[in-house]
Amino acid sequence: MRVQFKLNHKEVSFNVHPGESLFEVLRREGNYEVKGSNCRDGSCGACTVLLDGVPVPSCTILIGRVEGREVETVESLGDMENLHPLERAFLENGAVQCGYCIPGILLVAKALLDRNPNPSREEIEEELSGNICRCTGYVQQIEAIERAAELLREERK
Amino acid sequence: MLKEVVEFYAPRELEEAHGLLLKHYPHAQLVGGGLDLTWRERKETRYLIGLDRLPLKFIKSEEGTLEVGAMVTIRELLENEALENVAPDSLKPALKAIATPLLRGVITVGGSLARAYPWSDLPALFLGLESKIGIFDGKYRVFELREFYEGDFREILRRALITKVLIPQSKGRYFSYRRFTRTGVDIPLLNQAVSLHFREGKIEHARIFLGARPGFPLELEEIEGLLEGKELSESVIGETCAMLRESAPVESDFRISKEFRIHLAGVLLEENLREIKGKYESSIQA
Repeated sequence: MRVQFKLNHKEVSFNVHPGESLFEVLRREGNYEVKGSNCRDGSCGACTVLLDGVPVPSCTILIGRVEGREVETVESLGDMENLHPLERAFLENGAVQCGYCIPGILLVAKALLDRNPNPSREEIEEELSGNICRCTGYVQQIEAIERAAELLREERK
Repeated sequence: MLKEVVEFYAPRELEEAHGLLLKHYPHAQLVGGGLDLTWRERKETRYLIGLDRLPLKFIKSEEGTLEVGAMVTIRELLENEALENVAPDSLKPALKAIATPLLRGVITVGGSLARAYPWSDLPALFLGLESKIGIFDGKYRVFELREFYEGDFREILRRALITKVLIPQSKGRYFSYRRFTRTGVDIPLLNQAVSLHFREGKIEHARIFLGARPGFPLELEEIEGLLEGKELSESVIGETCAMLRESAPVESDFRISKEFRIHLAGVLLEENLREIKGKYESSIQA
């Protein structure tokens, strides 16, 4: 079947199997930076994307649900020439080690900051609680999100 | 991938969705959040009926009842201020304890109530809140949730869609929900919903449901009877917890033993009752 939706702000249309997940389609159709789904049940957060601005594990979303909606992967944030404040803050704060969890965590952080430009540390911790990181211990990531929130608030002034 | 699936429908009307369910029975599955479909293969499923385009995403207060559409996610429910009219300061913490923020953005109210796994949180929680459930099987019907689950609900839902849950709003309700798990994303090994209404300092009305027993949530009528008509004192809390430890309707499974569940049942009840006691006493002093 054919599925049409917005992907990273551009209209796309793919031939898909009706039983596929969004994760499977993204990996096949464009090599989008959606990390290999480890758990396949939404509990690790590695395959997180934004669906209509809400962070969801893409391995749990059947592709038919995506018709006419908006999907964002980490590619929607920035690029090597023009890093998003979140990406800049993560690099500056040493919040990236193996990098496996990072696309998912960046998108969760983006969704949080879009909704709440000045989150408390507790709110950041709560929002990140669905994304597993085996490398960092989360401290630098939380600090990076706080720093990114500052950068974004300055940009908006 | 669900390899056996040949078609994904996206109906816009309930009658259309219902017609598809009947047409393709028993090889059709309704897709709310879809979590239950993606984590394990169902070889018998050939047709998927997506519910996203149906008018099932709403939260509204109607004459003392909070109506929550079947496609509302736990995340959306948490963001709605009307929850405070159902059970002040207690429903949000209960919902926040379920799964993770990511999964709460996928889990739908209707999906959870339809699957009704014995370990599910929402059935126990909504039973504790004395909710009703709305379905569409060609006609709109409303049932008391407890009666719905005591009947042959799985047979009903083979040919029906859940449309909403109706929760009585009551600022006088004191509610507490607890679940015991091994990890943050694990299913509960035991869960418990406690709802008390007070009148002139005494418990007028109690509702207590114990779930993940490992069986389906069961109302603890004997414990309710022990509480009703009494003040929520330390001795009453002690007495009811002791009684539950004698009579908890739990069994062993491969996760934990009956003995551990019995112990947990008493602990959850004690914590739930103490939380309610604290809230009630604070509200009187305010």
